[in-house]
Amino acid sequence: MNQITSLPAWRGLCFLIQLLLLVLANQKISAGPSANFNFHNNPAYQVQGKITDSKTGDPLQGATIAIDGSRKAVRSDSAGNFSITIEKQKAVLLISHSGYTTQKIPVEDDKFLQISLVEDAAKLDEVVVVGYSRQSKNKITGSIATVNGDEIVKSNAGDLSNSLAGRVPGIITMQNSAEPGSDAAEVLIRGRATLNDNGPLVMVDGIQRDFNQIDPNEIQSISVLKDASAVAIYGVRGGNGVILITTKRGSSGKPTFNFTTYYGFQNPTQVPKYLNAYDYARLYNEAQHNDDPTAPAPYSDDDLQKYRDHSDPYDHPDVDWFKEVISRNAPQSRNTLSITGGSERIRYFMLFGMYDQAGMYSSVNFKKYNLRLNVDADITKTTTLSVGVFGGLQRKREPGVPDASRQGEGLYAVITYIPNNAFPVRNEDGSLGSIWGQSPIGEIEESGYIRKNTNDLQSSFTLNQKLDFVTPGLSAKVVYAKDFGYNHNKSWLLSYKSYSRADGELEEQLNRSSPNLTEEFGEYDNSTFETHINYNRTFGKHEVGALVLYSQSEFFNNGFSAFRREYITSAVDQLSAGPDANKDNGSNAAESGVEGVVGRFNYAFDQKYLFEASFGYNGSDNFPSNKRYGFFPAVAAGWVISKEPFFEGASSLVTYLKLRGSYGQVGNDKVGIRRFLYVPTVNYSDGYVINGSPVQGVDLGDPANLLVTWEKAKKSNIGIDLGIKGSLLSARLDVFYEQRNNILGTRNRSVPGTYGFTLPVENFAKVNNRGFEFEVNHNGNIGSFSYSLGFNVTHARNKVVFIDEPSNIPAYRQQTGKPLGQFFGYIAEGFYNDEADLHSWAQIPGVEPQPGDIKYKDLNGDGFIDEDDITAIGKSDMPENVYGFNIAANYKGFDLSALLQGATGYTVEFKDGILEFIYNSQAWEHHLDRWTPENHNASYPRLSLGQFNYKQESSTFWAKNAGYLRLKNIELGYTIPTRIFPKSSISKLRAYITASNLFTLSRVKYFDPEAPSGFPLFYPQQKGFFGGINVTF
Amino acid sequence: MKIRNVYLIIIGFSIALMACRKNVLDKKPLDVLTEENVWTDVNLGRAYVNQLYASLPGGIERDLDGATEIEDGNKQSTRTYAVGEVTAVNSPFSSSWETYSVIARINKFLENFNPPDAEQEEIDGLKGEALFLRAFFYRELNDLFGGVPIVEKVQSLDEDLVVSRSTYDDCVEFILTDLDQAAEFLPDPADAEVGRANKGAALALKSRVLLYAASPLHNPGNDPAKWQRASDAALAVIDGGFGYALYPNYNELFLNDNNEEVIFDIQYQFPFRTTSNDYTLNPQGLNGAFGNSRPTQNLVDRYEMANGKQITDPTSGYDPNNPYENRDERFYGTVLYNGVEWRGIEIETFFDGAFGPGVNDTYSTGAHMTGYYLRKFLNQNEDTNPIIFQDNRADQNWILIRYAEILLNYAEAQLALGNENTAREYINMVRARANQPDLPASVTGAALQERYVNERTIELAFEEQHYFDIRRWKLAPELHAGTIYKMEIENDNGNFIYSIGEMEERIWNDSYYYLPIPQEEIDKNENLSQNEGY
Repeated sequence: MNQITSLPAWRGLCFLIQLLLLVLANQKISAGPSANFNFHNNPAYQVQGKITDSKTGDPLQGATIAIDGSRKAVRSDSAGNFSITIEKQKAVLLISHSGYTTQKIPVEDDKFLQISLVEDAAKLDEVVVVGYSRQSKNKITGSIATVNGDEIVKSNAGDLSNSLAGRVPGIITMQNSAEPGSDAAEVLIRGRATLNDNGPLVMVDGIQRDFNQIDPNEIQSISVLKDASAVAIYGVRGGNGVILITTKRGSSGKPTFNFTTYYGFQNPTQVPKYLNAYDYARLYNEAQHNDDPTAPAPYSDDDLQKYRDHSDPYDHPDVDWFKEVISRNAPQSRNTLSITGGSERIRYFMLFGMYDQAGMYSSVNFKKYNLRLNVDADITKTTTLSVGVFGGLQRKREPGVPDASRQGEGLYAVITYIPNNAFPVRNEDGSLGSIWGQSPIGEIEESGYIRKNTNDLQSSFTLNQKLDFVTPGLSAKVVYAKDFGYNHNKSWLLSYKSYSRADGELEEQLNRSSPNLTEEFGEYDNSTFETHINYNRTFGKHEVGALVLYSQSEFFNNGFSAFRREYITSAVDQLSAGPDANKDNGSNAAESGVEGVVGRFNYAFDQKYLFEASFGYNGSDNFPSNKRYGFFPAVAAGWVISKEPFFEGASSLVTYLKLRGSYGQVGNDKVGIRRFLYVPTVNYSDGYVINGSPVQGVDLGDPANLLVTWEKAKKSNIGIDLGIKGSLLSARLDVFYEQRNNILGTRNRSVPGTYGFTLPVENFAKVNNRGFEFEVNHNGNIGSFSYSLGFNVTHARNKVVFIDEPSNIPAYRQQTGKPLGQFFGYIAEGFYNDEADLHSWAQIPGVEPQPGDIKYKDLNGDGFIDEDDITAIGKSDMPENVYGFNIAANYKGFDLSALLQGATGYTVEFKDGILEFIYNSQAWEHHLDRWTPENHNASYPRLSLGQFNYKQESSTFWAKNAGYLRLKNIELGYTIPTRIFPKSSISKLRAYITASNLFTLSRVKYFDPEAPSGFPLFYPQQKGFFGGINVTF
Repeated sequence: MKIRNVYLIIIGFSIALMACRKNVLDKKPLDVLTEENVWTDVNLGRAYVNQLYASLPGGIERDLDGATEIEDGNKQSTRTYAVGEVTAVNSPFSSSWETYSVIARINKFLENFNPPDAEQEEIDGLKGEALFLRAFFYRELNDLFGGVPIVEKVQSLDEDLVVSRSTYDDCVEFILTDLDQAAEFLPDPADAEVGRANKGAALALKSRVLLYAASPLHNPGNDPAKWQRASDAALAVIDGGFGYALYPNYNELFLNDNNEEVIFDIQYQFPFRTTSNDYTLNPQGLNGAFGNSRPTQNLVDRYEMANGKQITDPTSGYDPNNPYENRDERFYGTVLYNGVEWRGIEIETFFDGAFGPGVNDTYSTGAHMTGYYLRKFLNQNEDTNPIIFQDNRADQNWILIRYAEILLNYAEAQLALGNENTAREYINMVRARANQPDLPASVTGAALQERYVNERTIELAFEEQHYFDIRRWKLAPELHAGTIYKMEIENDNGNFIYSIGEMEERIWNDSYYYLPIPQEEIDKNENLSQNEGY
């Protein structure tokens, strides 16, 4: 018997709901003829029409045409056409479309309707996806940002996480690497609020799923839930915010095909600028002289001359490795075909997508294939069955470069370590040049491969039952989702020959002694089950809505790996082909679960006074059985001032004004570190050798904390929505404040080492996070020229309130009171210019600086430069502010759009990566302006060959303000007038050219401003030029 | 229609009913054990003890002897000692303090391990191993830091964690208690599995502990009782009937694992447990090897001529122009020098030679060229031990205690007790294995003492004994400090011109007898006193 204090009450509820539904469904049979039972007897007629945009005249696809007072609705097809059967003599059609003002049109006969919809800048009628439901924008009281699929499509990024920055207020991203297939950005909602995992919960079509695989063309919308009222229903998982991705679904009508293709080329935004062989050798001599003036110059004048005139390309080579190794114009393409259509009863959306991205090295490649099928079937008048199936394949290939995790970056490191004068690309006889067996060309082309394949199948089944016969507005829903898949990684690392040069002789070198093979296989199997009850009804001026649901999810994964080494041949890349002597294997498995009840109640009076209360009562298996479940409530209210009678005078200018506010408590069970924090574990370890044979070993894992619990977030939010003169201007402002406590940390910094164990994690740290988001949009038109302008900005600043750190260090050295990720270091104050400078400055124990070295400030004035002179420098490594400018314009078939995205308020420190000759590596262009006795006004200290030089200390010399502004996207398109095509063949044909990351303005030198601090041998961010076509037929 | 409706709903929700699982949150770790498993299962208990062995400190990678005059390498750790920059914040070997985490694991085992179905003998055997290991770790801590806190139980978090240091002698007594108990529990070497602690190892460690405790640093009054205990402890191993003997070949002693001279060692076995020795120790530049742990001229000069005479003796036949001829065979077993054949090539340590200093030297490569590389512990076989960067393939065991040490321990104790003849006899046993002639009976008094120091230095060079020896003998101020010499070799068309050059002046501070307690530990524990001079 397990000791779980289970949820008998709400597991019972789960059954009760089902039982209820069964009984009700049966009652329905015995209830006799229902209201719409005999509609077939009424005279019916067809109404047809076409819906267009009032400004551009373009047909509008996907507008909803509903019969007022009935539940019947159809959608317009890609040509804007619709057809609906009307059973009553007179009816009123409600024509609505996301982003347009809804129109009411009375009909009484079957005439053809021409309807043009007017765009609504505030998009108040837009229906927004919220947690487990949808809500019209004008009733929203929380802080929810949305972006539509068409907006996301404009980004050519391979990974969806790179399409959000600047487009969605509240989102802060950092993309450290642009390696094809591994280029996901870190995505945060409103920045950081915990020392542990800050990542938001991501739900695709209501199910917790990874979103990286998704093709932008299959996205209907993305909602970002930010405040407590929006995320409380996610309870213990909602603390870091939630991203909801909704995929497209079908609409009635004849099949519409949409084919989108683009093809283009990418190049790094910024690559290091290294010195040519002559400058390298010259500076190397200088550095040697600086270190030891008596030492002979490593490079003679003759050497220097040969480097300079390239007269001896084999023994005095000058190789620009980036030029040799990086493929310029690496192609990238995406082809997507989608089909949508259906009858009134069955609607479908299908998509097939292919994405292909080459890397900046010839042997790097990433492909993915997407298949999606979303079907909605009205299996009875009141029952809808929805099925969503997604299949995805990813194929990533890299060279067999010996770097544990990040292959592309590993290669980047190889290049960086090799000076231009190290060896020729190829020797006289055509063989590869190298030192220590590493030739960049060999590494790329002859080192074997690392293949990473992932295969995903996701499916969900939703049965929605309207229960209006019980009471109007009631419905129930059951959702079941099953996701599974597997990944298979294979590393076939080959040895290749290269030749190093010693005294004119070529010496054979191997990069590794023999081929070896590693294979890893992993599978996962996740399932989710939900039961919902929904109620929505209007009583006069009172609008009431309620939602109760029970949800449970289980996650399981399992994997194993095997390797063999020292293959005698590279002929067959199979495990069974390798020798028995050098082999090993391993495995892992894990399971987890979440369970909970969610409730939400909405009330609106006269569309003026809005009120919402919601809760999540849920549990996570991350916590001990008696401490698993938590209750997370939130309340929100809104006041639409512009609807008040007293506001009427101003309403000609201010057409919409709403005040919103919310407060609530949410949890975060992503406590990181490890799972089962409440169980003292023992791990299998490397073991030992007894009697000449390996024996197994076990070792204590981390200690347990029986009281471990989730992080608690108290979130408050106040917002204003403003609309001026209809479409002229709309603006939103949200101000938030969050207190996060119960953050898990260890107190090891205060427990003596003689205790001998690491302490268990405890819930004690505290962080505050505050900020605002603002967005403003303007639409306008001048004749047939129409345009829109948008600006959004997100500001989030966190502060550590309590953390485990020694209390006897000075305040300026403490993390407390400063943001997470704060940089610490010395304050640099120029260079020592002469001996007098050296003597007058504070001493550094154990170090004898030379003129030309960096001077550090003696912060505490004790005459010594030591740890107590380290202080907070710069800011944190995550931007405090992210902003975006959106521009779009249309003129007679031409369209132009651009996104300028920027970030400020963060720091990068590329210290080790940009030093000269470090580990005998390259020297850079910026070393030319080094300090010399003649050049005191230098930007770089004196040169040295020393590896452990104290200039490597973190200091303001290296820490730089990393703000940037980049043209993330610009696109110019032309839509060819459809009249030139035969009727009903092609309804839309658009050609476009687009560019991403075209330019970046930043004070950061050497690398891209989003490059990781430290030793940034990363795969650089890319800029791309693409051309594409979009056809609908 | 309606009936179908009902069926659909019934089917739909029946599926849902099945999907609604109980105990969704009742998850357990699938790929790790819990502590309870270990204390109740003798096989897991043994695996737990196995892992303790994996934490044994020592090896040429740590290289305590690198901080003495016999070595000059390019390792950051040893440089700190050479230039006298050891502080409580920057002290490379201070990470030894982390040994307390292994001690805590041992304490936990001793307190909790009690499998119900196992035989008492088996339980005692494993506890004996654990006690031996605890003694081994405390011996190291005690000699490195000079009196350390004794933690013999698992501390609970609400108990006072701010322990104080015990004296050096109290630590010694605590270690001896553990060793006596271990010796009682452990089997004789012949009955023990190779690699595990046994009774011989426990008694041998006791010999080391008592010898160190009797030495000048810890026995300022030169109490003969302490020396007598040390002598008795060594003799207990020699007369213990454990079958220990000197291995006939000095060089191969370190390559032929588990031979009769080995008393306790760290076990390696390719490919499961290996070391980086091949690419870190081989001559710098040989397939990218680092050439760490370079012997100095100070050490090389200590090797006698094969005729048993010291090179300072004018009658020894030492030729400064042919310095490597006719030396003690332990020289050839320990040092790679200019002209020696190694892995099919001739080692060139002359100026601009393949492995010598040259015009293209950088700070990192050239500054510590002594003219020598280490040969001891290195396998010459290129097939079994290829030199591949970052590919750890060396699997020679690292000997922690061997019989020669015990013989020398006995000699040292006897010498201190005034029994010069016995001392000379045991020194000569060790010399005999290297085919060095006996020390003549005419060598007595201070001269004999000096020959003993010389003997122990070259016999145990680079085995992490010299570091402790020069300290406990209080010879460090003269040996560690002062000039470090190197061999400068000019190549005059194949004729080598040898001249001894000065490498650097080293600094000794009396605080270096012990390591500083890590500053962060002092910060966390007000009861922890710092060693003098830090």
